[in-house]
Amino acid sequence: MIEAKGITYLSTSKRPIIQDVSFSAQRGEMVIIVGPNGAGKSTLLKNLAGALSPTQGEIFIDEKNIKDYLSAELAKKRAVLSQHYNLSADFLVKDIVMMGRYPHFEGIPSEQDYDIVSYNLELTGTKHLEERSIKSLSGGEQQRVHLARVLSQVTQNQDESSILFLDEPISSLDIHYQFAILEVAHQKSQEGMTVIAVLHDLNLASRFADRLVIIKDGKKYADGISSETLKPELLSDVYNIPIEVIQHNHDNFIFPKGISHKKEVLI
Amino acid sequence: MLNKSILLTLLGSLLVISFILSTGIGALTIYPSQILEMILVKLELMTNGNYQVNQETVFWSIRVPRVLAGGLVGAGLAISGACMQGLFRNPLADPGLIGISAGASLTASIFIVLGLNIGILGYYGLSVATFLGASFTTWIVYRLAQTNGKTLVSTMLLAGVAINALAGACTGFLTYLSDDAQLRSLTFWLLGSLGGANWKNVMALIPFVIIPVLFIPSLGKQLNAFALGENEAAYMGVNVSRLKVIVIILTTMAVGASVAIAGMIGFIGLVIPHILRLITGPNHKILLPASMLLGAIVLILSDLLSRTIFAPTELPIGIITSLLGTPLFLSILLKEKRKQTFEI
Repeated sequence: MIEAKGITYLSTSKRPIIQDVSFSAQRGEMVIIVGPNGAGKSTLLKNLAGALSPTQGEIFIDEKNIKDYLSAELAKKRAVLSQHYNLSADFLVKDIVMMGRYPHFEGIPSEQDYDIVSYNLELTGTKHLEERSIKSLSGGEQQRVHLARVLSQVTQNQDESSILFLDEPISSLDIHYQFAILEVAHQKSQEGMTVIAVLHDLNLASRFADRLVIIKDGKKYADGISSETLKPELLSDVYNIPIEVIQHNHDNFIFPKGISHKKEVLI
Repeated sequence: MLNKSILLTLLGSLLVISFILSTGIGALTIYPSQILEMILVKLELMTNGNYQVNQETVFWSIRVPRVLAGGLVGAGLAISGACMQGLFRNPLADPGLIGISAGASLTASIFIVLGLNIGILGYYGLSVATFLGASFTTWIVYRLAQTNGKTLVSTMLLAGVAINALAGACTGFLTYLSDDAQLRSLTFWLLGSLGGANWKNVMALIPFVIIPVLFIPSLGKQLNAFALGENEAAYMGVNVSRLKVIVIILTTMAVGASVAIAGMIGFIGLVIPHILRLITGPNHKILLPASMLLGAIVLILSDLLSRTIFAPTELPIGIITSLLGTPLFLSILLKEKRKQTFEI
């Protein structure tokens, strides 16, 4: 469980990127953060994950202030899947996934570490790639390997809670891999993991989120289940573009009508 | 990809062989069996061996300290190079690049040319000056690269380039000022030589190399995580700022002390880790100890060449390492270019 109380983050030039955002996510919940470019979504996620420290406000993970965690201790509690990776060396897939277990062992990995790595390779459908080098894989395959790595990092005993952060994890992937990544994340949230993701695609967000948080200009604009937050007026206002929401088989479909469309209407 | 224990055993045996070759070959030949006997006698496991007194003297007071110095300097330079390439996420990083060696050589040049001889330091004066120079430049480069409590690695590399240029200019100016005798000792020093090694300075070198050599291999996991990026390493529980400080302190120790005893020896820190990456892959858990062993082997053998090719004259060892290292390094670069393993 994670709770942020009134966090504000100023950039180095003292410009506020996030202003007074309060936020919480429970065990087993998949929360998706959406909002326009430059709204502060990724900065918010980096604050929550401990990569940045808020200028004001406090963050608690399992009721303990994030500042009071040692880096190795925090690493067992939460893992982060980023948008893309720029590796300076070409490791084997199995070695990359084993890096997820680094916080858990000293010296050499235990039998359990190998089991967890193997389990997560299976789960993400990358077991057959384990002997390949990471740079020989396609972007989508690489991202699944990194998902296996971050899952291995926060694989704990049943009663321990853990948080998975996804920072625009699917932005450059095709729809097959987008679903491959998000379905695994969703499954983990149903098994009790807290999943917090920043996504751009509103349709995918509404499909997978237990709760949506909309950020605009560094402030929390809306927070709730998708039927409450995905309102045409609200979205049109947030993205500054006319948006329709269409219901189909109990799913919401977000349909941006386009800026040019607006012009046509005006003509 | 070779298995870790096989590779380390292989390198370990090669190190023993280079020790035997390098202590045995020279104006006075000492055979391997005699070497073994001398060691056994020294350890008081044998009462007397089949060798002459002058062989024993040459072995214990000239060759052994020199080979030890070579091994320590090679191990220290190579492991520092491997470690820095991991930290900077850049295959070009080596102790020379961020200015450590240049700073060390500048203070040494000042020491030689201005004939400074601070009474208390006496014999160790040059070593101490060199070490201080190395630490001071590292500190400056490190401070320049600090922004908001973070070390910007790219700035650090650029600062290193600038410091190198400045130190190079000052060293050049000092060579201009120096007389013939000083120039000769400067040249030898700037090109590197193990000719000055004796028990006194080898004993002084040991702690400065042994501490990094024992400690750096334990950073393997953290440096592996660094390959994914600094932020990713932090997400994986690496205390990034602490790791940077540790690496800088340890490499300055090893490099400063190595430059102090042997002068500037190029290419070891750069080439050795590269060769090993081709054999073992990028995993630092293997790369770090293997670099240490191969660095020691290569430097011991280079020193053997430097003192035997034109015997009785000695060639500066830096010439040998650069002559052998450059073509090797270029061929690796070409190979890597085809494979696109590194993104610079």
